[in-house]
Amino acid sequence: MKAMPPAFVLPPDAPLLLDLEAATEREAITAATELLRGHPDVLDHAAFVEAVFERQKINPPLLGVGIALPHARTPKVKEIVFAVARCRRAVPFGGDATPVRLIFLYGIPPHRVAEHLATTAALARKLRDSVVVAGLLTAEDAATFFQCLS
Amino acid sequence: MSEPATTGAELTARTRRLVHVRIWLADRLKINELQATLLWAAIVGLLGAWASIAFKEATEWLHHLFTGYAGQHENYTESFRGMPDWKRVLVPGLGGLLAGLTLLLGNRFKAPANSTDYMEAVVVGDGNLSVKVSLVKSISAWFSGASGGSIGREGPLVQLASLAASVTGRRLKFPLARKRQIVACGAAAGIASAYNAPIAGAFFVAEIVLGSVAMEAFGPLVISSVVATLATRAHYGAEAMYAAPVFTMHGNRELLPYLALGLVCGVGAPMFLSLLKQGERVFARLQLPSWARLALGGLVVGALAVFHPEVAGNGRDLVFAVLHDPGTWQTLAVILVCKLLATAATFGSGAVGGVFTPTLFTGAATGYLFGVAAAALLPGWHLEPGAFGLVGMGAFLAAATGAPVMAIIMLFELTLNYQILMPVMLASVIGYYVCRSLNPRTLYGEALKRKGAAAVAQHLATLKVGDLLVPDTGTLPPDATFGEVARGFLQSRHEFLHVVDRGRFLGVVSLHDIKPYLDQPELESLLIARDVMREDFPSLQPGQTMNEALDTFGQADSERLPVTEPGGKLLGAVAKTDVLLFLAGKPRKRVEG
Repeated sequence: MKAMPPAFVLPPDAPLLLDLEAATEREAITAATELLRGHPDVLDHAAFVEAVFERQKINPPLLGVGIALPHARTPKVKEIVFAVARCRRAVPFGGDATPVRLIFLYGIPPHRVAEHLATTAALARKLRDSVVVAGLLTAEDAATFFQCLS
Repeated sequence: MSEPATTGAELTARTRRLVHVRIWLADRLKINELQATLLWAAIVGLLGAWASIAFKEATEWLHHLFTGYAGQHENYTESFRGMPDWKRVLVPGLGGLLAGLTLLLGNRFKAPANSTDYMEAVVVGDGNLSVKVSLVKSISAWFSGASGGSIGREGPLVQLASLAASVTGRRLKFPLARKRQIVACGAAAGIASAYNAPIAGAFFVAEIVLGSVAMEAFGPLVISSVVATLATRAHYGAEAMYAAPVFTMHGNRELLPYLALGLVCGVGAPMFLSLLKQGERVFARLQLPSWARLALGGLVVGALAVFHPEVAGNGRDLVFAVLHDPGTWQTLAVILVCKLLATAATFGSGAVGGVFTPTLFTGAATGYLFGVAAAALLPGWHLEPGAFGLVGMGAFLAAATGAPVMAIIMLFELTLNYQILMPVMLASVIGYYVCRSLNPRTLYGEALKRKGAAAVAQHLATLKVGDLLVPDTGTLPPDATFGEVARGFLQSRHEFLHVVDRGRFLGVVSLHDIKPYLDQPELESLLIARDVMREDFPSLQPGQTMNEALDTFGQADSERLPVTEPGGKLLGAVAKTDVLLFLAGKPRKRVEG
């Protein structure tokens, strides 16, 4: 199985919060997960959130340019689910208190290993581009925001 | 915010390049334990050759010491001819005494075992040969052989070569199947270097010891016997052991007398075998301690040597004489009888060694005498008794050992005479069939039976996955970063790395999964082993049978599988090669329903 990374774009219907107010990593992530409450593919919201924090504890996935990619591999989701949040002010993440303004949260069912890799790699590749990141930070609305990612 | 996206400095460009090279190689070469076994087979071949060269040199030295013979190469006929009568009797007697004392000292702490051995290392068993027992037997054989006992040297040669292999296998902590294989390689190396016969070395072990020419098992045997032969030739030169005059066939009808010779050898071989047994019985009836028995055996040989010094030694000179300068048939007949008696006395007394060369001589002499008779009966056919000598060697060997393939090849390699091959093939097969119909037990079958080969086979049949277990080398902790995963693949040649958390097996990371993403250093900070591991990977239980394991390997498409306890605790790994080697190298597996 030679799974080349698909030309990935965030689904345009992924829940998005452009003006998140949070002081801590925990608050910020909780707010992002709240966007997925009631999502049909999230089987157990509390357990899903738990899995995300569990993963954060081991080593918070950071892109180093103010972007966090909290993610969890858990059977509590049926399909890959996304939530995106942009913080008004930088929130300190991890032990090094890395300032984070963009949060891309996702959950992936355990057997979808190839997609987990493809998703993470595609996001990382896209967000490597400082023009893209600048666009995301200044986007006025959801449409513009997703435009930057396409 | 302007920090360059290289927080994943851990996954350096160098590492990535190396991983790419490694993947490129992995895609093109299927590397597994099999190839590694070939390498070890070569090393064992070299060790085996050196062991046998050392033994041969030591024998020659001791032979000089015993007999005072000053010739270039050990030639027992010559050296015994040059000695006064009393010394001809005394030297083999003394050698037997020393050989017996060696056994006595070596077995001090054990109950005296049955000491008659045609070929010790024929039973590879579980690949663990005792260093002490092997050395004691080899030293005892050294005394018997060098003092003129009518005994072959291949026993100790094979013993020492196999011992070197067994020690290697143990040192490397090989699992059982590979250890057996490597000991078999040692035996092949011993035979190849003893007779300068690489093909026969490989086939002898495949045919008699493993009972299989499956490529998994046969390949390493070929490598080690070739290496052993080359090493031996570097020391002794490349001449055939029994270079023979070239014989030509004058017509197809000549095959008829060869066919008859095959029949004669088929009848003669069981008689030869029962003579050896008879010798054992006679000596057993005397109820002497082993040192006295062996000394007596030596004295009998010595007494015969007073009249016919040719009987001393393994019989190599005699085989040579039959092929090149046989003398009158009457003399040869007398020598044959004396040599048979000497061989029966040496073996009956419990001397350690082999009967290979005595068997060759018996065959050669039988063949030659038959040839003389045939030439007299059919004067117009231009039969050459010497050619019958060669064919007799092959046919007799095939019948006595029960390994016609080996015998045919061995004869070709010993003499490097191609012309003779077709009659040898014919006569060997006839001899083998006749012998089997008269007496289903062969030279080595006898030794195998005594050594409980059936029990070994049965034991092997009950072996489970747990017995092939090796420590798992390619493992990762679940929180290993992407860079650590990549480096893990660099340090191990496996396609899958096992993710282990506090001794528990969680899943595997597949090289193929992460392959497309190695160019992205930023993944270092985003992914850990747990994120990308496959949990649905099969694992083996220690109690599973080999066939079950093979089924699981079929599903997994992996060269190795983790072995776990029912609770998930990782015990180690099993390589597919080991399972295949095991199934291929199972000794004389009973035909399955």
